[in-house]
Amino acid sequence: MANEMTHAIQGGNSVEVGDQFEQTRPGPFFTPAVDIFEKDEAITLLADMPGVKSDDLEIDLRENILTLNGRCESFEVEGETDVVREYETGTYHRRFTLSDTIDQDKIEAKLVDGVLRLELPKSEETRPRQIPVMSE
Amino acid sequence: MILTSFRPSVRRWEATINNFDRMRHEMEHLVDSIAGGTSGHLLGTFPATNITQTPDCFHIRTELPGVKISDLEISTVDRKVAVQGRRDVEPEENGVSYHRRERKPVEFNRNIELPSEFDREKVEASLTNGVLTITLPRVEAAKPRTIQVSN
Repeated sequence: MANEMTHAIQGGNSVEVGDQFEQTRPGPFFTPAVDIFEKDEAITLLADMPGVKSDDLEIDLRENILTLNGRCESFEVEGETDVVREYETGTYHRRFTLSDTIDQDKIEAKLVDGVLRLELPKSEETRPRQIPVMSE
Repeated sequence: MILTSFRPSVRRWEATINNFDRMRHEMEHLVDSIAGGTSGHLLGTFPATNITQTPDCFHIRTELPGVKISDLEISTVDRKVAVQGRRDVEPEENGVSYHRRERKPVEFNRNIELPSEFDREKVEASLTNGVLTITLPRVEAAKPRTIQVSN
Protein backbone atom coordinates (compact mmCIF):
# COMPACT_ATOMS: atom_id res chain seq x y z
CA MET A 1 0.00 0.00 0.00
CA ALA A 2 2.82 2.38 0.70
CA ASN A 3 4.04 2.24 -2.84
CA GLU A 4 2.12 4.65 -4.90
CA MET A 5 1.16 4.86 -8.51
CA THR A 6 3.38 6.99 -10.57
CA HIS A 7 1.76 9.67 -12.56
CA ALA A 8 3.22 12.78 -13.99
CA ILE A 9 1.34 15.99 -13.73
CA GLN A 10 0.71 17.63 -17.03
CA GLY A 11 2.70 20.80 -17.21
CA GLY A 12 3.63 20.57 -13.57
CA ASN A 13 7.00 20.84 -11.99
CA SER A 14 6.83 18.04 -9.49
CA VAL A 15 6.38 14.45 -10.45
CA GLU A 16 5.78 11.54 -8.22
CA VAL A 17 8.51 8.96 -8.48
CA GLY A 18 7.71 5.33 -9.05
CA ASP A 19 9.04 4.08 -5.83
CA GLN A 20 11.87 1.62 -5.92
CA PHE A 21 11.96 1.84 -2.23
CA GLU A 22 12.83 -0.90 0.13
CA GLN A 23 11.68 -0.96 3.62
CA THR A 24 14.44 -1.12 6.18
CA ARG A 25 12.42 -0.46 9.28
CA PRO A 26 9.79 -2.72 10.77
CA GLY A 27 6.18 -1.64 10.82
CA PRO A 28 3.64 -0.50 8.29
CA PHE A 29 4.19 2.32 5.78
CA PHE A 30 1.56 4.87 4.90
CA THR A 31 1.08 7.44 2.19
CA PRO A 32 0.43 10.85 3.69
CA ALA A 33 -2.05 13.16 1.95
CA VAL A 34 -0.20 16.10 0.44
CA ASP A 35 -0.88 19.47 -1.14
CA ILE A 36 1.74 20.84 -3.47
CA PHE A 37 1.45 24.27 -4.94
CA GLU A 38 3.74 26.50 -6.85
CA LYS A 39 4.23 30.21 -7.05
CA ASP A 40 6.77 32.15 -9.06
CA GLU A 41 9.32 32.12 -6.27
CA ALA A 42 8.75 28.82 -4.47
CA ILE A 43 7.10 25.43 -4.29
CA THR A 44 5.20 24.65 -1.09
CA LEU A 45 4.41 21.14 0.10
CA LEU A 46 2.01 20.31 2.92
CA ALA A 47 1.77 16.75 4.26
CA ASP A 48 -0.49 15.29 6.95
CA MET A 49 1.68 13.35 9.38
CA PRO A 50 -0.19 13.04 12.65
CA GLY A 51 1.91 11.75 15.53
CA VAL A 52 5.31 12.49 13.99
CA LYS A 53 7.79 14.48 16.09
CA SER A 54 10.22 16.76 14.32
CA ASP A 55 13.12 14.54 15.45
CA ASP A 56 11.52 11.57 13.70
CA LEU A 57 11.07 13.29 10.37
CA GLU A 58 13.65 12.92 7.61
CA ILE A 59 13.54 15.14 4.58
CA ASP A 60 16.02 14.32 1.91
CA LEU A 61 16.59 16.15 -1.36
CA ARG A 62 19.25 14.91 -3.71
CA GLU A 63 19.41 15.16 -7.47
CA ASN A 64 15.94 16.67 -7.48
CA ILE A 65 14.40 13.70 -5.70
CA LEU A 66 12.61 14.72 -2.56
CA THR A 67 11.99 11.94 -0.05
CA LEU A 68 9.87 12.28 3.06
CA ASN A 69 10.03 9.75 5.87
CA GLY A 70 8.13 10.47 9.06
CA ARG A 71 8.19 7.85 11.76
CA CYS A 72 5.30 7.85 14.18
CA GLU A 73 5.89 6.31 17.58
CA SER A 74 2.89 4.84 19.30
CA PHE A 75 1.54 6.99 22.10
CA GLU A 76 0.54 3.88 23.97
CA VAL A 77 2.33 2.69 27.06
CA GLU A 78 2.77 -0.81 28.34
CA GLY A 79 -0.25 -2.36 29.93
CA GLU A 80 -2.82 -0.80 27.62
CA THR A 81 -5.07 -3.23 25.80
CA ASP A 82 -7.14 -2.50 22.71
CA VAL A 83 -10.82 -1.75 22.84
CA VAL A 84 -11.08 -0.36 19.30
CA ARG A 85 -8.31 -0.06 16.76
CA GLU A 86 -8.91 1.97 13.61
CA TYR A 87 -5.35 2.96 12.81
CA GLU A 88 -1.84 1.70 13.23
CA THR A 89 1.30 3.69 13.69
CA GLY A 90 4.21 3.33 11.34
CA THR A 91 6.11 5.43 8.86
CA TYR A 92 4.74 8.00 6.46
CA HIS A 93 6.66 7.81 3.23
CA ARG A 94 6.48 9.71 -0.02
CA ARG A 95 8.85 10.63 -2.79
CA PHE A 96 8.74 13.21 -5.57
CA THR A 97 11.01 14.60 -8.24
CA LEU A 98 11.22 18.32 -8.59
CA SER A 99 12.15 19.48 -12.03
CA ASP A 100 12.81 23.08 -11.07
CA THR A 101 16.11 23.91 -9.51
CA ILE A 102 15.58 24.45 -5.84
CA ASP A 103 17.82 26.66 -3.78
CA GLN A 104 18.79 23.97 -1.32
CA ASP A 105 20.24 26.38 1.23
CA LYS A 106 16.94 28.13 1.69
CA ILE A 107 14.62 25.18 2.21
CA GLU A 108 12.46 25.61 5.28
CA ALA A 109 10.54 22.86 7.03
CA LYS A 110 8.03 23.28 9.82
CA LEU A 111 5.97 20.66 11.58
CA VAL A 112 2.91 22.13 13.25
CA ASP A 113 -0.08 20.16 14.60
CA GLY A 114 0.99 17.06 12.69
CA VAL A 115 1.25 18.86 9.35
CA LEU A 116 4.59 19.30 7.60
CA ARG A 117 5.05 22.53 5.70
CA LEU A 118 8.00 22.53 3.36
CA GLU A 119 8.98 25.70 1.53
CA LEU A 120 11.25 25.06 -1.44
CA PRO A 121 12.44 28.36 -2.87
CA LYS A 122 13.45 28.33 -6.50
CA SER A 123 16.93 29.45 -7.33
CA GLU A 124 17.26 32.85 -8.96
CA GLU A 125 18.00 31.48 -12.46
CA THR A 126 14.82 29.44 -12.64
CA ARG A 127 12.36 32.12 -11.57
CA PRO A 128 10.18 33.44 -14.34
CA ARG A 129 11.23 36.81 -15.64
CA GLN A 130 9.28 39.45 -17.44
CA ILE A 131 11.13 40.65 -20.50
CA PRO A 132 10.10 44.16 -21.34
CA VAL A 133 9.53 44.71 -25.04
CA MET A 134 10.80 47.99 -26.26
CA SER A 135 8.70 49.82 -28.76
CA GLU A 136 10.17 52.31 -31.06
CA MET B 1 -21.88 17.48 7.78
CA ILE B 2 -21.96 14.60 10.22
CA LEU B 3 -19.69 11.88 9.07
CA THR B 4 -19.93 9.09 11.52
CA SER B 5 -21.68 8.19 14.62
CA PHE B 6 -21.02 4.81 16.07
CA ARG B 7 -22.23 3.02 19.12
CA PRO B 8 -21.36 -0.59 18.56
CA SER B 9 -21.36 -3.03 21.41
CA VAL B 10 -18.11 -3.69 23.23
CA ARG B 11 -17.92 -7.18 21.88
CA ARG B 12 -18.08 -5.97 18.32
CA TRP B 13 -15.45 -3.34 19.06
CA GLU B 14 -13.06 -5.91 20.32
CA ALA B 15 -13.71 -8.04 17.29
CA THR B 16 -12.66 -5.24 14.98
CA ILE B 17 -9.10 -4.98 16.16
CA ASN B 18 -7.67 -4.76 12.74
CA ASN B 19 -6.45 -2.34 10.19
CA PHE B 20 -9.53 -2.12 8.00
CA ASP B 21 -10.19 1.55 8.39
CA ARG B 22 -6.63 2.48 7.67
CA MET B 23 -6.69 0.23 4.64
CA ARG B 24 -9.87 1.86 3.53
CA HIS B 25 -8.24 5.27 3.84
CA GLU B 26 -5.37 4.03 1.73
CA MET B 27 -7.78 2.60 -0.85
CA GLU B 28 -9.71 5.84 -1.04
CA HIS B 29 -6.48 7.69 -1.43
CA LEU B 30 -5.53 5.40 -4.29
CA VAL B 31 -8.94 5.74 -5.92
CA ASP B 32 -8.67 9.51 -5.48
CA SER B 33 -5.32 9.63 -7.16
CA ILE B 34 -6.74 7.74 -10.14
CA ALA B 35 -10.03 9.58 -10.30
CA GLY B 36 -8.37 12.95 -9.91
CA GLY B 37 -9.41 13.75 -6.39
CA THR B 38 -12.80 13.46 -4.79
CA SER B 39 -13.36 13.49 -1.09
CA GLY B 40 -11.19 10.82 0.48
CA HIS B 41 -11.78 11.40 4.14
CA LEU B 42 -15.45 12.12 3.74
CA LEU B 43 -16.17 8.58 2.65
CA GLY B 44 -14.46 6.88 5.53
CA THR B 45 -14.42 7.17 9.26
CA PHE B 46 -12.84 10.45 10.12
CA PRO B 47 -11.03 10.98 12.30
CA ALA B 48 -9.42 7.57 12.80
CA THR B 49 -9.68 6.68 16.48
CA ASN B 50 -8.07 4.09 18.72
CA ILE B 51 -9.37 3.24 22.17
CA THR B 52 -7.33 1.37 24.77
CA GLN B 53 -7.91 0.49 28.38
CA THR B 54 -6.02 -0.26 31.55
CA PRO B 55 -7.56 -1.30 34.87
CA ASP B 56 -7.62 2.38 35.86
CA CYS B 57 -8.64 4.27 32.76
CA PHE B 58 -9.52 4.49 29.10
CA HIS B 59 -7.48 6.29 26.47
CA ILE B 60 -9.00 7.62 23.27
CA ARG B 61 -6.47 8.66 20.62
CA THR B 62 -7.54 10.36 17.44
CA GLU B 63 -5.52 11.50 14.45
CA LEU B 64 -6.31 15.15 13.78
CA PRO B 65 -3.60 16.64 11.60
CA GLY B 66 -3.99 20.38 11.15
CA VAL B 67 -6.79 20.76 13.70
CA LYS B 68 -6.30 23.63 16.13
CA ILE B 69 -7.36 23.42 19.76
CA SER B 70 -9.74 26.33 19.18
CA ASP B 71 -11.56 24.31 16.49
CA LEU B 72 -12.08 21.29 18.70
CA GLU B 73 -14.85 20.57 21.16
CA ILE B 74 -15.07 17.58 23.46
CA SER B 75 -18.11 16.81 25.54
CA THR B 76 -19.20 13.91 27.71
CA VAL B 77 -22.55 12.55 28.78
CA ASP B 78 -23.13 9.25 30.62
CA ARG B 79 -20.62 6.82 29.13
CA LYS B 80 -20.28 8.76 25.92
CA VAL B 81 -17.70 11.15 24.57
CA ALA B 82 -18.37 13.41 21.60
CA VAL B 83 -15.46 14.85 19.64
CA GLN B 84 -16.46 17.58 17.24
CA GLY B 85 -14.44 19.95 15.19
CA ARG B 86 -13.23 21.25 11.95
CA ARG B 87 -10.09 20.92 9.91
CA ASP B 88 -9.40 23.78 7.54
CA VAL B 89 -6.99 23.80 4.65
CA GLU B 90 -5.65 26.88 2.97
CA PRO B 91 -8.07 28.25 0.38
CA GLU B 92 -6.97 28.29 -3.22
CA GLU B 93 -5.35 31.48 -4.36
CA ASN B 94 -5.12 33.08 -7.73
CA GLY B 95 -1.79 32.88 -9.48
CA VAL B 96 -0.87 29.62 -7.80
CA SER B 97 -0.69 26.34 -9.64
CA TYR B 98 -1.67 23.24 -7.69
CA HIS B 99 0.12 19.99 -8.40
CA ARG B 100 -1.54 18.05 -5.62
CA ARG B 101 -4.65 18.84 -3.66
CA GLU B 102 -5.27 15.79 -1.48
CA ARG B 103 -5.79 17.37 1.92
CA LYS B 104 -9.46 18.15 2.44
CA PRO B 105 -11.25 20.53 4.73
CA VAL B 106 -13.56 18.48 6.91
CA GLU B 107 -16.05 18.84 9.71
CA PHE B 108 -16.38 15.88 11.99
CA ASN B 109 -18.48 14.65 14.84
CA ARG B 110 -17.66 11.34 16.45
CA ASN B 111 -19.63 9.85 19.26
CA ILE B 112 -17.85 7.19 21.24
CA GLU B 113 -19.48 5.07 23.89
CA LEU B 114 -17.12 3.46 26.36
CA PRO B 115 -17.74 -0.01 27.78
CA SER B 116 -17.96 1.19 31.39
CA GLU B 117 -18.44 4.34 33.41
CA PHE B 118 -15.75 6.95 33.83
CA ASP B 119 -15.30 9.90 36.16
CA ARG B 120 -16.46 12.80 34.04
CA GLU B 121 -14.85 15.33 36.41
CA LYS B 122 -11.39 13.91 35.82
CA VAL B 123 -11.28 13.58 32.06
CA GLU B 124 -8.14 15.09 30.53
CA ALA B 125 -7.43 15.90 26.91
CA SER B 126 -4.30 17.00 25.09
CA LEU B 127 -3.43 17.66 21.46
CA THR B 128 0.16 16.77 20.56
CA ASN B 129 1.63 16.66 17.05
CA GLY B 130 -1.82 16.32 15.52
CA VAL B 131 -2.96 13.49 17.79
CA LEU B 132 -5.70 14.09 20.34
CA THR B 133 -5.42 12.00 23.52
CA ILE B 134 -8.35 11.83 25.92
CA THR B 135 -7.77 10.06 29.22
CA LEU B 136 -10.85 8.97 31.13
CA PRO B 137 -10.36 7.45 34.60
CA ARG B 138 -12.81 4.71 35.46
CA VAL B 139 -15.08 5.24 38.43
CA GLU B 140 -14.14 3.06 41.41
CA ALA B 141 -17.15 0.82 40.94
CA ALA B 142 -16.14 0.14 37.32
CA LYS B 143 -12.57 -0.93 38.05
CA PRO B 144 -11.91 -4.61 37.64
CA ARG B 145 -11.50 -6.53 40.87
CA THR B 146 -9.96 -9.86 41.62
CA ILE B 147 -12.07 -12.02 43.86
CA GLN B 148 -10.19 -14.30 46.22
CA VAL B 149 -11.63 -17.77 46.40
CA SER B 150 -11.69 -19.14 49.89
CA ASN B 151 -11.80 -22.80 50.67
